[in-house]
Amino acid sequence: MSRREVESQLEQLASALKTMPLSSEAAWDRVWAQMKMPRQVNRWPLALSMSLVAATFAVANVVPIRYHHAPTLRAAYLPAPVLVERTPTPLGWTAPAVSGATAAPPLRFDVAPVPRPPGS
Amino acid sequence: MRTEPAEDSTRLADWIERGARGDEAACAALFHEFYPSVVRLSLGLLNDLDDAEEVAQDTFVYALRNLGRYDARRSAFRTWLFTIALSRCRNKRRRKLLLQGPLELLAGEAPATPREVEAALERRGLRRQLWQALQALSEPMREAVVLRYLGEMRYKEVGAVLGCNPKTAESRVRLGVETLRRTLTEQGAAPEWQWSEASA
Repeated sequence: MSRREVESQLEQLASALKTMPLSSEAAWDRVWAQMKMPRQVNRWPLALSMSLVAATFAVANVVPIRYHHAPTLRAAYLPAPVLVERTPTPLGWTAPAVSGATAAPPLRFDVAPVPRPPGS
Repeated sequence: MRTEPAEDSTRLADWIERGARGDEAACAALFHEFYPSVVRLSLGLLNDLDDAEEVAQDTFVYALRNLGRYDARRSAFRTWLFTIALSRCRNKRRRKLLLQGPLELLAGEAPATPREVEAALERRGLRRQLWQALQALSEPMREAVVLRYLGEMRYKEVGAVLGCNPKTAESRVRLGVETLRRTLTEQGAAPEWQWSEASA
């Protein structure tokens, strides 16, 4: 069978299908009746946007986001303050670190070096 | 292939314009002009006349409601209509495959040819295998062949409906016809009288 024969058979098939009886009038009545019916409102975009809003609120309420936006919460997550006791000694005042509520290391401030007098 | 004379296109533009304003007579004229071709196209893609008619009616409900959106500068009305029908046929076919496909695959049965199609083939002395081979083509090839031959479209129009360029559409059609030729040759090109006697 050649390619041309197949093409010819397909064309004949198309002509054959044109002879197929169709109830166009009944079909038109159904289509027009459906056209006259009020359109169904598509509600899924509204439902989706509501869900997105709900999800945003739910996510916004979790700690990592609140941490950045609520100062009191951020303060609560900071290391506890350290109690520093200063005791007098014969050599002067020392500031031994005494851990407070936590074992966090004490804050240390480096003393800035005093500039030497010129010529020394 | 089909051509649209000038008076036809003027008449069509008038129907579309009036139909967009909700004129029932214009909508009915558009429906009766194009309904048979949309049914034939859907039948070629779905292999079920009831499904084809349902899809065609659904296509017209959508098209007539959205006539105002149709832009004659972008495509011919038939191309626009066939694009809507093709999309609906794809959805219908996928839904059917989801529901029935696994059972049919388990049973190992090929889908039957609709009796209306068989009757039409018989009237022209055509072989049933041609329709079955057409249905057995892969989806892109079947769509291209059905649009080209059952839809009587030019390659440019086939490309516009399928969303590809005309060259791609042409190569799909050629490949589809070649696959049909091979299938029919393998099955043995029985003379028409043999098929008619066997089916009688």
